[in-house]
Amino acid sequence: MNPIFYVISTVLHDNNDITKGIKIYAFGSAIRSDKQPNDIDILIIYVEDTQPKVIRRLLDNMGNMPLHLIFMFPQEELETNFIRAQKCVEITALFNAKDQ
Amino acid sequence: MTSYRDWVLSEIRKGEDSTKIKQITSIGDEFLEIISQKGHHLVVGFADSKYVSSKDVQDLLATENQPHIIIAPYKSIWSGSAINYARQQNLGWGGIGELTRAIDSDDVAAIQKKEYEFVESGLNKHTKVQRLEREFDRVFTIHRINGLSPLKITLINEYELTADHVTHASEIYGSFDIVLKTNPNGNITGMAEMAAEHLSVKICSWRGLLGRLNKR
Repeated sequence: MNPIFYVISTVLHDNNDITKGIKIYAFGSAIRSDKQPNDIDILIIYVEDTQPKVIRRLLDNMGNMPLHLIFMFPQEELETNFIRAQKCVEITALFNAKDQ
Repeated sequence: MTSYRDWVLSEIRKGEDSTKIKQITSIGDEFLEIISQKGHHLVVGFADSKYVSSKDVQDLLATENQPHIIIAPYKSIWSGSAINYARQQNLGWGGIGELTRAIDSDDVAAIQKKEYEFVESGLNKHTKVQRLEREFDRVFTIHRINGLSPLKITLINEYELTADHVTHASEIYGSFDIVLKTNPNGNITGMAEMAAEHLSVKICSWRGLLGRLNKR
């Protein structure tokens, strides 16, 4: 699994005064394919209006691989059924599974 | 951290497009020279900047390496003047995707994201459009004929358009009249519509925009 998922999770959890209440998911080619992905797709379910701006800043130095961030309020996720439709995986499950 | 140029070099070498390439050479810190299996010669300039200005483009052209295309990281914002200058100099522009398209292209100067090609070409054919003014990579002001007021549009290419997409676009690009959802699939969330209303912005599909151009 791409180590960037671990880095993203760590950065966001280390700043939990700002990121409190968010849920982080990965989706797309980076978690499904053995090929080199074109980008890293991340869904963040957030609860405070200010969180996307701060989280973007926290994740600003993740290297050159394109990081495609989608921020949704819980209501937007319910409306679009995004997690199910895109087969999103909670990010911690990715590296926990690798550790086992 | 690896420079953007060196990261692109490594991605090309391990990617599917490597089979199209006969030789790839780094020149200084800001250029790559690519010779394809078909014998095409391509010099790529790298603008490793969060905001690509016309000066960045001029600086790359002020060297002896005369690039055919200039590329920048995915999150870079290109100013309209940088794009206009690159085009005046017959340069393609974009990111790593545009670079791979340029390798065997017969018209590198025309290369930009396909999304932008589609919008530019479609708008230029509209009977009410007098001219397009490029404000940023994703922002155009559409000047219309018959005294119709100009409309500033921002392109967002997302499957599900959310409130944050609209708010973030306004934080980056300032005010605009219309969000054009360039991905024809997916939906616009109710909260995205509310965020747009709060900013006095209308969200349009491609078809919706073409209709809007006919109105006052």
